[in-house]
Amino acid sequence: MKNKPIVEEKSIFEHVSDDGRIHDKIPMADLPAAYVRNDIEGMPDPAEPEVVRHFTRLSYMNYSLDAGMYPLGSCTMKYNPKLMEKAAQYEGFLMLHPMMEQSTTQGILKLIYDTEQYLKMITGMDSFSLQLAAGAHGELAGMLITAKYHRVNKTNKHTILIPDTAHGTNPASASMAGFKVVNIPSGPHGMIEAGMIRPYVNDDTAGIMLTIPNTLGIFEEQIADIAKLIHDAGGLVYVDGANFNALIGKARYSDMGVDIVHLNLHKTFATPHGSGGPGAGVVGVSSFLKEFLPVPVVERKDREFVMSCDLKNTIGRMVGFYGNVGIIVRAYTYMRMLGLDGAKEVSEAAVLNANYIRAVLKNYYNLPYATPTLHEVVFDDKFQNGDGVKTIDIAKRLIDYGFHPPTVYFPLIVHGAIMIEPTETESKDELDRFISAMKSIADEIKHNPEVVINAPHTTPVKRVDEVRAAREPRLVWKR
Amino acid sequence: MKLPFIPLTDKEKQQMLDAIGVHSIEELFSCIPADIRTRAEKAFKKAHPFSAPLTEQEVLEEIAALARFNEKAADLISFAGAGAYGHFIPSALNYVLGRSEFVTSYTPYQPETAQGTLQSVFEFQSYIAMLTGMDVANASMYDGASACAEAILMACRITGRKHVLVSQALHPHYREVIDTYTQGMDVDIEYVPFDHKTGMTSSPDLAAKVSEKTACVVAGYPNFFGVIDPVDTLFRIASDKKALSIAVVAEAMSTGLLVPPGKLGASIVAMESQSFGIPLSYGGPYIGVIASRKEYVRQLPGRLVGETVDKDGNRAYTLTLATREQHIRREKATSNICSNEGLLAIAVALYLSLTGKNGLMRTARINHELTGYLRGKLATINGLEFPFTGPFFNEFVVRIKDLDDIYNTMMKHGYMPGVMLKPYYADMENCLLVNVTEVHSKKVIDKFVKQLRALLAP
Repeated sequence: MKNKPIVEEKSIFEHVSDDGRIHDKIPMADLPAAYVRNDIEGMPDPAEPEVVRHFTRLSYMNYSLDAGMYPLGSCTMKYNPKLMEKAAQYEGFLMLHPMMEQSTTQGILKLIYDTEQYLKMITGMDSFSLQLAAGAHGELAGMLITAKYHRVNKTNKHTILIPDTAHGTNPASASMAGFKVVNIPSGPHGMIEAGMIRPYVNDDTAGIMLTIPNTLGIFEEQIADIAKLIHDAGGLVYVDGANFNALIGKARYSDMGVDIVHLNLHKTFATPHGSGGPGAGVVGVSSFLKEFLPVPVVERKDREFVMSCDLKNTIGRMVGFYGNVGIIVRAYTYMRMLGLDGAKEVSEAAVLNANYIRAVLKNYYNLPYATPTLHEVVFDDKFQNGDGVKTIDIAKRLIDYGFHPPTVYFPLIVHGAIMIEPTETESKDELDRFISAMKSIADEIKHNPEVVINAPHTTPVKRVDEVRAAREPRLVWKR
Repeated sequence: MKLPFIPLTDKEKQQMLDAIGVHSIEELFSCIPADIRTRAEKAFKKAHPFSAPLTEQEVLEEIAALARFNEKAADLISFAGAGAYGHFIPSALNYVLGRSEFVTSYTPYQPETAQGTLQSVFEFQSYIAMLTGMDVANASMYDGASACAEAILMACRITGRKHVLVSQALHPHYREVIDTYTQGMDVDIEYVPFDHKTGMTSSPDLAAKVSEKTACVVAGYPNFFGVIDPVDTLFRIASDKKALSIAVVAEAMSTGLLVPPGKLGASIVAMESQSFGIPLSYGGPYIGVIASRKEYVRQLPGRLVGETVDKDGNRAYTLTLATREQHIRREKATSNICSNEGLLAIAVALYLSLTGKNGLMRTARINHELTGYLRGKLATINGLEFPFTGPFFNEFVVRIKDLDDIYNTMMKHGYMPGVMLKPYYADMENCLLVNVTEVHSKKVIDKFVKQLRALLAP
């Protein structure tokens, strides 16, 4: 067992006294004295080498995708090609003020426009907005579109159906758009069945929110029937396309009867996750919903690209300017590099990798659903419970083997879920290394469960007391 | 075809198919109904301008050409602010921020292997609390405008009231985003006019509108015109009716010079932190944040990092108070936000550490003084007027006759002279919002004034 790799890194606020080491005499400004501050209490004044070392040492305490496999199911941690970072650093993008005359920003407007063309082709949807800052932001836009559509058409519908397999963001987004959420159970095969949702569909049904493929990695086989059922009731079909990386070239949302879909550029299109963001969400709609998209949208007028706010029933502006443009530049770079032909292979390799892990590990970890899966596989801890070991222990032990843990305890319908998504960018060697770690842990649990229950052993901190953090919240630094 | 980001060889693919027990990769997709698959395959077979993969070299050449298209705009000497500010970024920032350990990691769900992110974001939260004078801050929001909208929803939850008073001098895009976010909610937005002499939000008008039904009063600090609103007065009027007060800071640099909103009665602060080390980047990604008094912490949206201990009693950090959040509370969550602007929170922590307290206070002061310098020079040009008398930070409004023509001519001479206000305020004909920061030297300002004088008083 390795020793702790690094010792504790002090807080930046402890590096130097808050008096600072430089003592500037700052003259009074010509402002009303009541509005001029004399001090920023607690703020330090470290020197550049101290700052660089502080954050570099902190970085050593992070696991990262560039260091190894990061099989977080549904989060799609795939390798982030480095040319994207170069492309995003061109001054012609970085130095642009968002209110610059549009005649001078044709390059970035063309890039946004072309990204939309690519997204239209790959999903089959008719129009897109690229201004959403993340997937959940896209969901909110989609739900606001649904609500406004019903208001404009005076349908008086207020309920959204959401299956129990959905991301937690789905019900939260529907509720922020003013909808009542009705949770519907998934069937015994991990899918939504048209027959089972029929009793929930009525005059108040404004729409349904589905994830395809769903959070078990399963394709909703009955989507066409479900869409018909919802459409017949006057509702709209919204799909969370966070898992679209499983479907490129194999299925298009337009062919499933979907009216609104969001994709995450930081998932399918490989932009980096940056310790939790920035991401970028895009929302695609069928032509009859185009006029509801957020504004501005980028349009082509003859040879010129323009930001237009001219949409009759727009839900309005979702962010201050035009969303996370720097992320759109990265995603566009990835799209051009792969082309449509290459993009297809992304899904093929992602699905092959996930099914390989499933096939090899299914004798070691329980597979709660036998239904075929695409880009991810969900196991649980049933085989291990007898030895007093839970999913969280397996996850923490994986860290000692040099891997980031999979997504755990999600989806909620699987007790003790372990959700593994390898993505297409892992080599067979890396997959085999991961498989061998998972097998070893299964073996350790039988013979030496303590080592698993007490994991991790190799990290800068041992298992963290999350209960205490919530009971006595300390959210800012205090001396 | 061999793609650079997919390592599998044909031989390995075959071994894996054998292990799975299928004959082809196609078979793995047989769970998708055949008609859906056939239609997708057909669509992909059609020739399309984006069909063929390109090499890295080809892609970079194409993107460089697109970037060059914008270069004229990027090269302009710009006095445009209006919610997006060009500040100097210390070289060490991007050098450290570019580390893979920050760029290519995920939301820190597993604290033992993400202490780097967690401690950095904890320090970000601490800095924001210090700068705004609040007790707590969250781990970031998408941007200032969406943070402002979410702060309003938060105030409505806390007070159980639905009437919201928003200053008309708040950034117009922020007001649009507020409308978008509240359209499905039972929230009643009413605007408070600004005084056309001072440019300040009108206290008498606010006093006339506020009532026991008011959830919150929302004002920019500084406001959209760069004017320092008398938020202490405005917020006192709010608290007299037990309404909350939201200070909206669109220019975070102002926190280095101005008394923090927390000391002027704000209950919640919604801030855009782009000024702290984030490039203009055509409007995004930027970084919003919400700070509040500690009694409201359970109604904060978004992630929070907290300090705790590990099982050996050593200091450790973790995401906390998750019971507010969507993955636990689902439709009853405080917000649907999940991914935020994590990397940019680290950038802000880096920026504030690199500038330090004295550096930040000095930079903020320089912003204000250079702005005063430009305003003073412009005052010597005949025909220019300053519609507002209120005190300003680093932005002000100037009225210039035949502004459209002047604006276009200045663009031809290599200047973006500011942001025109007519599209946002119909009665503000010929008004230009001008921003000066530490990137403008006195020399540059002098040349700009000389050019403008030549056009206006030849």
